[in-house]
Amino acid sequence: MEPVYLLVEPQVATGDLFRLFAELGTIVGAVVIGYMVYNMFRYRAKGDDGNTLEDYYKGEHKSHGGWRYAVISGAFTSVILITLFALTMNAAAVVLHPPASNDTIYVDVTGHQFYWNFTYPDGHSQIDNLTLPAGAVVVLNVTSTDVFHSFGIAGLDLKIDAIPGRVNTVWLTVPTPGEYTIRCYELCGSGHALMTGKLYVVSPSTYNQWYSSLPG
Amino acid sequence: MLYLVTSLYFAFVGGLLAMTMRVQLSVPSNSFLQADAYNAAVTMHGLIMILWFLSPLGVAFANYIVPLQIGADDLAFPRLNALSYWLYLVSGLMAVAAFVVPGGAFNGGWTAYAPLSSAQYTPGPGPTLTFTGFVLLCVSITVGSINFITTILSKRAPGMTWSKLPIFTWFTLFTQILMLVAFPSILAGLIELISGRVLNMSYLSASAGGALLWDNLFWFFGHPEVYVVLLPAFGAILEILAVFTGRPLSGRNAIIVAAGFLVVPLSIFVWGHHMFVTGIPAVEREAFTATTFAISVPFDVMVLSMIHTLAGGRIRLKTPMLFALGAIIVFIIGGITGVMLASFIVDIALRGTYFVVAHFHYVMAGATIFGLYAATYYWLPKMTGHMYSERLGKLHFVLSFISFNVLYFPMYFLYDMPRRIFTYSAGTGWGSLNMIASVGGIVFALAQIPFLVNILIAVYGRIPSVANPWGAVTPEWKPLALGPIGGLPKTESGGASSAHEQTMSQRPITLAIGGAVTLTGLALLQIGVGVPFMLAGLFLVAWAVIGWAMDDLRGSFKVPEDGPGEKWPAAHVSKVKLGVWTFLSSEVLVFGSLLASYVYIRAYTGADWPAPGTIHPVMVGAVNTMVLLTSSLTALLALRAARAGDKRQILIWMGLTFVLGTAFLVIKGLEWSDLLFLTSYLSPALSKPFTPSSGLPGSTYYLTVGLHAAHVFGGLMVMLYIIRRTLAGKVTKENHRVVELFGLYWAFVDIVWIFVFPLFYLV
Ligand SMILES: [Cu+2]
Repeated sequence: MEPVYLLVEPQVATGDLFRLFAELGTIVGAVVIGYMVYNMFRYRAKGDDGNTLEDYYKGEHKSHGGWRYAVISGAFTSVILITLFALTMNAAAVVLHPPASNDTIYVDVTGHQFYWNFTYPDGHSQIDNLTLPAGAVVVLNVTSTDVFHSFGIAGLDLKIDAIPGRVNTVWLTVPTPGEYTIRCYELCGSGHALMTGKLYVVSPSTYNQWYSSLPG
Repeated sequence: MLYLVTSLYFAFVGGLLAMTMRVQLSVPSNSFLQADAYNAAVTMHGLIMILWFLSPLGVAFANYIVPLQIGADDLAFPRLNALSYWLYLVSGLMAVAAFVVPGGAFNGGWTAYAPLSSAQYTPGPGPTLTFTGFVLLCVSITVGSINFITTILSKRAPGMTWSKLPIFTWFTLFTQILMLVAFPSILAGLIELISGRVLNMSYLSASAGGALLWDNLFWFFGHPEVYVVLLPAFGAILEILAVFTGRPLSGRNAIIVAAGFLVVPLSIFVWGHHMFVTGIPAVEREAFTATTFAISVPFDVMVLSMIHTLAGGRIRLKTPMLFALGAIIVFIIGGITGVMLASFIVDIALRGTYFVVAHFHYVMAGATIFGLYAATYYWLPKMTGHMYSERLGKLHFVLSFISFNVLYFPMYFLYDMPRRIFTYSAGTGWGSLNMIASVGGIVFALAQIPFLVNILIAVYGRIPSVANPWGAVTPEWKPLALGPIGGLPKTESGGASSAHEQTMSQRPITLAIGGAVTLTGLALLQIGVGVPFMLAGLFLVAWAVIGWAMDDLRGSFKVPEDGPGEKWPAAHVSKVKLGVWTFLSSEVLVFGSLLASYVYIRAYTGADWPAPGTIHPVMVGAVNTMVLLTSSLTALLALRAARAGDKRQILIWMGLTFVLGTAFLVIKGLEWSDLLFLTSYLSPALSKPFTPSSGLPGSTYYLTVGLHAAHVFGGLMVMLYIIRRTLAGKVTKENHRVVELFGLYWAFVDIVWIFVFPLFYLV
């Protein structure tokens, strides 16, 4: 099985977008909070005279409307958000659309209280351990037989709800061999914390060897 | 004050639960709590903090401050206000009592995702009691919001125009409107949930569609609820900012428009961002990301206007101001991380993790609690007449602000750790961050001691306060405003005897206890001991309602009869009529949610639904529709007679309406008898009984039609009251409002049926 040529893996697109949002958020947050704290000290009242709102209205002041400032800040925010929306749509183009491939591997994932069941195309199924070849396009069809679970792989920025009566699809491809922890991300009862599994990503040759040796 | 103390009591309970969780999670593989106990703690912590602490705390201030700010002597309906409080108290006690009832408190998360919330997975009356408590809270909230909306629309003093309305009152109005819109959806969801648990009906346990139906109903309520919690705090923060910078708010009108005309309507259309990975269609995900991004614009405008207010001000960093500024800072952090979660792609990485926990604690817990602490310090001198200790207040702020961030900021870095897990292994590397958070949590809890001491200092009066200690300009600080400082005490003296009598009415408390006993009985049906409770409860309810009606007939409680509200938009509308309209709009939403559930679940299941005419006889339904529609006509004629002041005619038409309403219920009863017991009074017998627990067609039918029938029954009771009142000669040409209001209600009942009939009988 040859790896399909890909520009971006979906979970990397998700993770990159998360990091980008986090960096931008940190900058915006630091600037806004910094400006606020600066104002807080810059305009601290000295002494006690003429500071109150009552005093203010005794004077000749007119209230400042502030509409202009509000509209400008709203417009500025909108520009940022439209950019973020475009970035999201950009990532979605990868995340939501598995590339066409003849070698796509389909695995049925079923959540149970409190374990994951994985069924391969040949009918072989195993519990809590998911073995996949590096570089292959993998489509997971996720559902549940009992309650609401959420299938997630820690460290891979990938998550999809496992809902009874409903099959949800997600795809991934991991370019290099490795080991990840599968977890349940929706409270599903007393065993929720322990509903973990392992994802083993192995080289395509190891995978083929393993897959062909499976009984039935 | 009662509200304040009660909500602080629930905060203590919820906080204690949080402490047990932080202790359990402080180190990997801890054995302080077992899974089920931990899950119950996490669930009840969420429910209690959101429903019985944060929202009511906002209401507590609204209750005290809004009448003062608008120059009213009290809320529009004092007895309903009492009812709302007692319902709130008993509903919270029911939820907490669930811990000691078989089955224990619910442990499936405050979001109560289906089907984990069904009796199959979380058995016993305990969890049901948690939910019935929630139902009673919904009633309390609805009664409360009817009261507040009516009050603000119609009880403003002359000269209190919309442009002068203080911003806290504005924000209370927005909050109450949101409550009115959001709670009917969860009420419908809870009715479906409880009917499943107790009567074995199958709404949410439906293998297809049940889980997502609940998701939709829950989050349609759940997301606006965030703003319900937040907006009162924002209102207080805005008041405080103006006062302690000594400058009017920058962009006051822009803020009001942003909150009222952008946040409130948009908040109804963002619920789907809680469902990004449930597999809803891509176009829905995109739309919900867009609406959620959009709602952050008005919030951004509000926050930047707040900061702009600081610039050029003369800032006094007293305790209320410190808490207000602290609230803004944590809100900025929570808001920015909220924008991250609003992207349906980023959400894939973060859904169900501690990142989300950190985010909503910054927004809902941090910004709200700090904002309401600011409100407490700000208004405490007004409420008690004494000053708190500024030094203790500052200590409270510094400790709380630092420990809050130590508690929640590390959680942003636990973006792989699932929420609501009771343990984790050392290999995950989550130990140290959790330890830091736990230390922060314990310090945060201890940091609340100075707060309690400070309240005691203010209540037991060491440092007398002047009338307007902060130099504020809003009406509640005016020397003549009611309340402990510089004016007439609210209840004891000063010719307020009529007000005194009203608050002394025992009906609201009897009604609340009756409701609680009934619903506790409903939960206990599951273990077969519920019936006596239900009978006793219903007896109390009936006693209270009849007593209430008799009080009105006798006029033993002088309700100050103020004429039509003088102010736009309530001009020429009496407050009772306004209240009834508000009530009916919430009813419309309850039935709307139920009918939407039916349509949703039916579309989901598709083919295997009985064909029209096979279960429900169309002819019988059509005849009953005619009966009900005719009764609307007679109700109209009764109104015409009342307008003419013709007592005999009123009695004839009212009586006829009553007969028709009763006929409707009798036909319904025979129909149900045919379906349930195969009696064939009205139509040939089915081959097997069609029962509420026989599957989705049965459950949806009996629940929707049953609730409608209950409303018809309620209408009949009102008619009896009107007839009794007419006989007493109290329905006259000048005073026939009750007939008019009944007509409104009866028209509503008819309209609901006009939707129910085709949906259940014809398709
Ligand atoms: Cu699970």
